[in-house]
Amino acid sequence: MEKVKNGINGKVTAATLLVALGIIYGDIGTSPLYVLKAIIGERPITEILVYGGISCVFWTLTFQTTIKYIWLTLKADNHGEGGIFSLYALVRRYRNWLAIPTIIGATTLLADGILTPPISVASAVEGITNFKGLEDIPTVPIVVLILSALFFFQRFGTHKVGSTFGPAMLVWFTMLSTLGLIQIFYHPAIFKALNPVYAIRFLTEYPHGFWLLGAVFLATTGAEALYSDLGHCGRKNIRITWAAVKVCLLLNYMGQAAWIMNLGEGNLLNGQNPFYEIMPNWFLPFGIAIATLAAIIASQAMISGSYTLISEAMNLNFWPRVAVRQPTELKGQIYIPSVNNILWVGCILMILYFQSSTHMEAAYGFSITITMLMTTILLAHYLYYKLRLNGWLVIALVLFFGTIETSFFIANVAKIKERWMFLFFELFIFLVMYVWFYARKINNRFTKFVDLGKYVSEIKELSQDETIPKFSTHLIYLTKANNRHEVEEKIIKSIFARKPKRADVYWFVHIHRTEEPYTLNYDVSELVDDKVIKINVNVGFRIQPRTELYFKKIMQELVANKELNLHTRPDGSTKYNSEPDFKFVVLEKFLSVENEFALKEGVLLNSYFLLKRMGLSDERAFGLEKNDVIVEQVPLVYQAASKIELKREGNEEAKA
Amino acid sequence: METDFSKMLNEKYFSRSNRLIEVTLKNGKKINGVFISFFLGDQDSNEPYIRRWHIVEEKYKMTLGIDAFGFRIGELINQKDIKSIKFLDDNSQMQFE
Repeated sequence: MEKVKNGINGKVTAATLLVALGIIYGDIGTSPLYVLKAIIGERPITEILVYGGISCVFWTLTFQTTIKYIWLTLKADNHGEGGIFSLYALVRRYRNWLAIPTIIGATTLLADGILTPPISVASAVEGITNFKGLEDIPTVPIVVLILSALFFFQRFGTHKVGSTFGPAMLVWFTMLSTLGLIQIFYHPAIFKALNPVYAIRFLTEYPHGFWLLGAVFLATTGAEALYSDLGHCGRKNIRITWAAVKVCLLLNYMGQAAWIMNLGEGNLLNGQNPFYEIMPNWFLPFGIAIATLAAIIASQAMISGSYTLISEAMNLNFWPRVAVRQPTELKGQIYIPSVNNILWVGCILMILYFQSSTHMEAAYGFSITITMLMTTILLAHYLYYKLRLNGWLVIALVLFFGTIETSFFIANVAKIKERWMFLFFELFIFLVMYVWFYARKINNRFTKFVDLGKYVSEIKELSQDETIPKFSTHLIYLTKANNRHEVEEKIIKSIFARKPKRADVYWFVHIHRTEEPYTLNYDVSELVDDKVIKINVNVGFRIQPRTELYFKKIMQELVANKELNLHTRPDGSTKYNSEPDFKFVVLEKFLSVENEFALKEGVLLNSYFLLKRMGLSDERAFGLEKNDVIVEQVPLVYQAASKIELKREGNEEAKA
Repeated sequence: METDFSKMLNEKYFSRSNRLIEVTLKNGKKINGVFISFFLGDQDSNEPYIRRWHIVEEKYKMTLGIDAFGFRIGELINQKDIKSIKFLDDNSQMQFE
């Protein structure tokens, strides 16, 4: 049974269907703006090209979108959430190397995401060149203006305009189907194109037909987004709305194809976009306005999706900590300034570089084929290990979808020459994720733990030793140890080494990131009553940890339940106020000169510490107030020196 | 699923008050002392819960395994290299093969 997460998940009403329509179909829903134009291009119109192209679009939407994503992939919900990281969280325990397809999939998803806003908005805005006298109007500044405004307003959240997305997309899909139906009426034979024979002939008989799959693929680039947005809408809402959306999309594609066929075989499109050509002249201004609105909604979906992707990447330790803001009280709505800036610059550079949607069509889609292949790999593990499907059936499904996606990948390879600059961006994202993930693993492997129980009596003694000045009433350490009796060795060193830290209560707080998206609970173990306390806070991977807030809340509950004395004594440090004083100690590692690494480890760790310096500080990442935090630097020593062959020269003389 | 001996050892070892042990390694070497710390394994890589132990002579049991100048005391041994462990107070034994 589907779990209710965001208010609409799990239930199906007219309102939830409308919300789903507004959130998830921006990308796939705006594809009719450019797909047919890209397939036909500058080729002469023939039945095999038009019917075959439509047939390929229909079967792609059927196999790739309906069967793979709507039917199969949506089954892989992680407590209601979808997307490549949610899928990874479900299957990571089965194969260590699954981190690699996850990193590749997320990287490529983000990279092609940079093209979604410019291609959608440019395609829509270019509609105004259909007006007489405006044929040569420069559309690039308009696109730059729209995109810049869109990125600027992200910081205020989308809660106020978000409610209009659903009705706007309803108008969009109604327009698509109506315009399509009118054209089909003039050329009903277009229904024959649904016959797969046309698709086969298109791929095998039409000259270079296979390579046109790169253009066909543009019809399904938004399929991955259907899965990523599972958490926002719920499986049932997506499945029901997809049935209607698919019909609207097909009617429009077939309507455009019917219009093209009516131009007559052998003719050329001559740069006309069939999407706008099927509109009556009087409707054109409305059509362009609706298309622009739909393109903005598509762009918004991509931007929000990128925030979610990076947020999940951070929580699953694939991305350095960066500032995350919550512009509204709405659950799950986040704003990541650094991601916003990268996307804004990326999108503007794209439109300035490509200048028109036609050039972008030649570059768009390549990376998404890789994302889909990576999702297939992860999905296969989910189907086999979690759903316990028969191994042969899983292999058959992988081969089937793998073949389709590999074909799309090969057909899209030609786009590399148009999008070479993306390779640098992709390489950068990939390296950041790879370094962060694997360097953290190395880091964790060499973190030493001790039995906390062994030091309890010493901690108690230190707490009562009044010859040592009091450091804080409540001293709090963040620990990575899951087990209640364990704690990092460096924490014990921090308490006792140099100037011992005397406190009334010693807390050891462990933030445990769960594989479930929205878990938020805790347990408390008192190793010594009111003196040494270990707290384990379970935080879902979609939640930004706010450690200080959680800690104070837990403390408040413990005091209310009379399980904890706050130590607000009249003769103590809190004489002048009733606030308990806290000190969080954050132990920040640095690479010590003593470390000796193998080449790979050395490169990974040096890059990791470089990224760490560029990212958010530990105290901010854990949501700690600066005035309550002490940061201590501790060396990350891999091999503590044991035996050094250091000879003293002239010993005999010295002795003599 | 394979038995995680390190987890069993961890539970048994830290629940005892007398922690003096004799470790026999697979290469035949015997070490007497107490475990003072350990390194956790990477669960995603199917490593044992504890992959490495730090053992010191009993007289150093309250140290953190380094002397005043930062030099290591005792030895680091891999969980996979341990053949058996004898608890010296009651002569009970854990075999890891």
